[in-house]
Amino acid sequence: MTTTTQPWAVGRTLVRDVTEPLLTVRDLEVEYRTRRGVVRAVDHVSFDVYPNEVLGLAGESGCGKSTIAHAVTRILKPPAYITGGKIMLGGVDVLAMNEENLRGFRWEHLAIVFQSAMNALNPVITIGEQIVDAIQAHMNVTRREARQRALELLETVGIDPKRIDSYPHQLSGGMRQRAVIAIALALNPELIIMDEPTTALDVVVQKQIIEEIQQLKRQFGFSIIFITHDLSLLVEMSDRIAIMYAGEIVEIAPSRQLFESPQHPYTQRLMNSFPSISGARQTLKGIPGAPPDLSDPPPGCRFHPRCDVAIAGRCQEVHPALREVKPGHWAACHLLDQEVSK
Amino acid sequence: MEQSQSVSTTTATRGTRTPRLSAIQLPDWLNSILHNRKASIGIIILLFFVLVALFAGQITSIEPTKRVGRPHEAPSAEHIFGTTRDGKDVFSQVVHGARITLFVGFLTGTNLILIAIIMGLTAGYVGGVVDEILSLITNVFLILPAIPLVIVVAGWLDRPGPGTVMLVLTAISWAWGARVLRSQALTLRNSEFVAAAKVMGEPTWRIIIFEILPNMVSLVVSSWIGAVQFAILALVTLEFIGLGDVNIVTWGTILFWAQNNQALLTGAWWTFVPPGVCIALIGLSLTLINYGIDEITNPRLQKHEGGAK
Amino acid sequence: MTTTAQQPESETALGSQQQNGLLPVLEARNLTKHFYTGNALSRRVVKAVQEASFKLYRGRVTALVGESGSGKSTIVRMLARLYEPTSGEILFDGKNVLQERGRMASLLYRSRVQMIFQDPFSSLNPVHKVKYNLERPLRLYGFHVGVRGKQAIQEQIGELLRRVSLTPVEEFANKYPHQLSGGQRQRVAIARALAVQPEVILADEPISMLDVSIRMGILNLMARLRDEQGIAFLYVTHDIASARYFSDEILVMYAGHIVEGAGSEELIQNPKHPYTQLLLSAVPDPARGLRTADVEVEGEIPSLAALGAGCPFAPRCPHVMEKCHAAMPPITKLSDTRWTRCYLYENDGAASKAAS
Repeated sequence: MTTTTQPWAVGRTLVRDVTEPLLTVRDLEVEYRTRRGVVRAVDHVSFDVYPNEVLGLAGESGCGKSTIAHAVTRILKPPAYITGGKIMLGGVDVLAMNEENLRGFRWEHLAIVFQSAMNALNPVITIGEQIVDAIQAHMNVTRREARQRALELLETVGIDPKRIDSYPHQLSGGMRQRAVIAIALALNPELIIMDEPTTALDVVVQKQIIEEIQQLKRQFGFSIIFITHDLSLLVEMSDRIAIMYAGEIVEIAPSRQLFESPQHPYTQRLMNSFPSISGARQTLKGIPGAPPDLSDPPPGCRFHPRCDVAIAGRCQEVHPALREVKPGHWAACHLLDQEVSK
Repeated sequence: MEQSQSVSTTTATRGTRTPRLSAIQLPDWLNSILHNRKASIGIIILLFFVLVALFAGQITSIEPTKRVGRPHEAPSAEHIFGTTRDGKDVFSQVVHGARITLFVGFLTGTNLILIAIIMGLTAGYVGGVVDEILSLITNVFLILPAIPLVIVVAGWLDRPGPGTVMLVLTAISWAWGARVLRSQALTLRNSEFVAAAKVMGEPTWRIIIFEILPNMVSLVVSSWIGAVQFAILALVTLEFIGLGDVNIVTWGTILFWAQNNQALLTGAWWTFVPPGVCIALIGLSLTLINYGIDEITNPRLQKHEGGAK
Repeated sequence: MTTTAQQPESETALGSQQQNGLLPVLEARNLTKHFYTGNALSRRVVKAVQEASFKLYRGRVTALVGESGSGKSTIVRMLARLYEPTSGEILFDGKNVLQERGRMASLLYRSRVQMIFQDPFSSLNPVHKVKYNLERPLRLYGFHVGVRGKQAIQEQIGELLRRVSLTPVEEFANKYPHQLSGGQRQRVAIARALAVQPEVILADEPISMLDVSIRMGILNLMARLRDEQGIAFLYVTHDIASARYFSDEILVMYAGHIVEGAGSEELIQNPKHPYTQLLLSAVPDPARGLRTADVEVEGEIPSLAALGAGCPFAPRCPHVMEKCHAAMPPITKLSDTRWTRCYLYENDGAASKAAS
């Protein structure tokens, strides 16, 4: 490592106190304005991410988890618009920044890793160049310094530094994803959002990369919002998990607790959709029906049409609020209200 | 065990995407076209000219080839577009000229596309040696410069009529369309629903006609419109430089005679501006229709209903 | 979260079938597929599948589990007669179908063996309504399924839709694929395959592109078809957990070879081949609690164009020996119901060429 005058060696600036959240999202609303009408992809979503924690964001297609990732990094494009809410990263109001400030802010404090590495990697530029470009776009350093940093990064993520001049197509899927992670780490951000980073990879490679990510997190100390539909993976590697359904967070709790005693009927049924390789073989039912059309969501609780324990009347009319049903464990369900109020 | 209740239809029932025209039940695609501004304008203009061509005799009683006035009369109430050097009524010429220009243009464009479909679809779907041979032929015709070649052939044929010009144009300029259609046929051949049709035991001819071709409709239609546009312009070009039969009345020949009679020098703008504007408007209308179709088909491809990861 | 626990489909059932001399309905013998790429100057051979042998029995599900590049999809396509095998045999009820030519022979095979594809969005032609997809097989195979005439066909379409729980049938019959969800499309694909009344259904990753909560519904549907109609399923997947849930027997593939085969439960509980062990240790499984001996492995799946003569897993195997690099291990039968190709077990069972 070079001297402390190197920009990336300077410590984090955003948050000092680890008991304070790093990222605060309150009442986030994102709309898609299409010819068919307005779709509320994200509806009053609130959550926090603490320093050095992994927050898992789970849900099925159309639940809004990817939209949240794009909203927090401010890369949403029309017809998607952020129509409400607050996003504070380390005390900085992310929604208030203009394009210029955002460009400086992004990648230094906040980075994103996408599912398909080919979306993030330019196929006609070597991976070394792409890392160097990312660095030079933000830092006033010479090419040599940037390239040196790129070599270090490749080594850190487990790519042979000699491959710095390889093109993306010359690397395997796992290697490409590691390259994307290297680019994300280039400026040592405090928060990395990973949107289905291992979904397209084989399970063995997935395990390797997850382990490497965990190792990197210990080494560099950053938080992760890990977005995926694979709940089993999240239970194993995240600290807390938020379950999303139809644009809302319906449950949020520490991973182990969520796994052992899920409170929301959707979470329970969702867990009943993952066959496991240990334990007794059970009959799994999945969940009948399909996620609702967000241009016209069901009244009341959005899950009630598919819920087998819905309370007649109440669940169809009144929208349940996210309540703390146990310490640190929040869920939005009328069934739980009754229990809590007992 | 399997859920006995039926799979919910709540999300899936979307019906049509665009509002229907009052009480008339129009098919989806027609609805989309009529609601697209560019396509509608294009169609209106095109329809206008088609109607003009069809009812040329009713629109004006003056015969286009008869001498009815003094030479190079400026536009007046009697002769809306004035007269030519020979005293013939320009308005009547334009109105009657639309017939041959449009008819031959459309016919040529249609023939072009038919050949392109046969060549492209066969090459794309059958593949192998057949593809290599057909592609070789296509590529040879592709590099031949169409207009210069047509000029040479037309010149050699000594003032051919529009029918002959049509044949020459068709024979030379089908290659581009064939190439475009081939590449789409190739893509479709590798799609899973074609594989599914094979596994289902569908014979090859059924796969080509019922599985692949319907998916190529929008490309075929837009290629066809492009071909018609090319044909009309090529026809006009040939006639303008005097390679067509200059004794018949078409927009191209009107321009030829105007140029021949020094219209620019004499200031008789009315002998070339009206046909020129008409040609431009036809070209515009076809372009608009094509843009409109593009707009309609692209968003539809992007709209993917739920279910995927 | 728990529901009734089922007894795993007992391995003795397979054993007794063999003892009863029940014939497999579809059998692959030494199937090999080589793809040739490049031109005359630089030919490359991609050995996608090598010497694959296995049997499918009526009323049983056999899973083919492997990661990308394992060759599982190629095997399915060979069985579906979309690819010509480079060598090997495909036997239906004992008869080699590769030798029979002609349209009638092809239709006969296709009336017995059907396929479900992975991508519900692209396996249905977007320009055709649901009822077209169901009408075609009924028309093509009227002779076989005994459905003739417009009325009977319409009724049968309704019956098929009911069987895959797509009701009300009139509504679904007239829908286009883009009006259906992924799960519904896959049900249509299943109904289409059912229309010919097949004896074998080849399912190529039928649920991997569906939302998680819908997957079990589809698997349960297929399980019901297996139980009620005695259809044999070949379930191809990369997800060994779903293979355990749905199938009676699991075959594990690596780089073109089937390296292990056993009853589902015994394979999961007691994997023999080092690759199977690696695969099982990599699957996320929160219910497992403390992980025992995680298999640490470096490296990646080899390129199928650059395979050597030995076992393809040798470069990554924690138990690799000299001879592993020299030649592919022979099939070792460990019991009536399981076999593997690994030198570690060479002397454990009677080494035989046929996996029966």
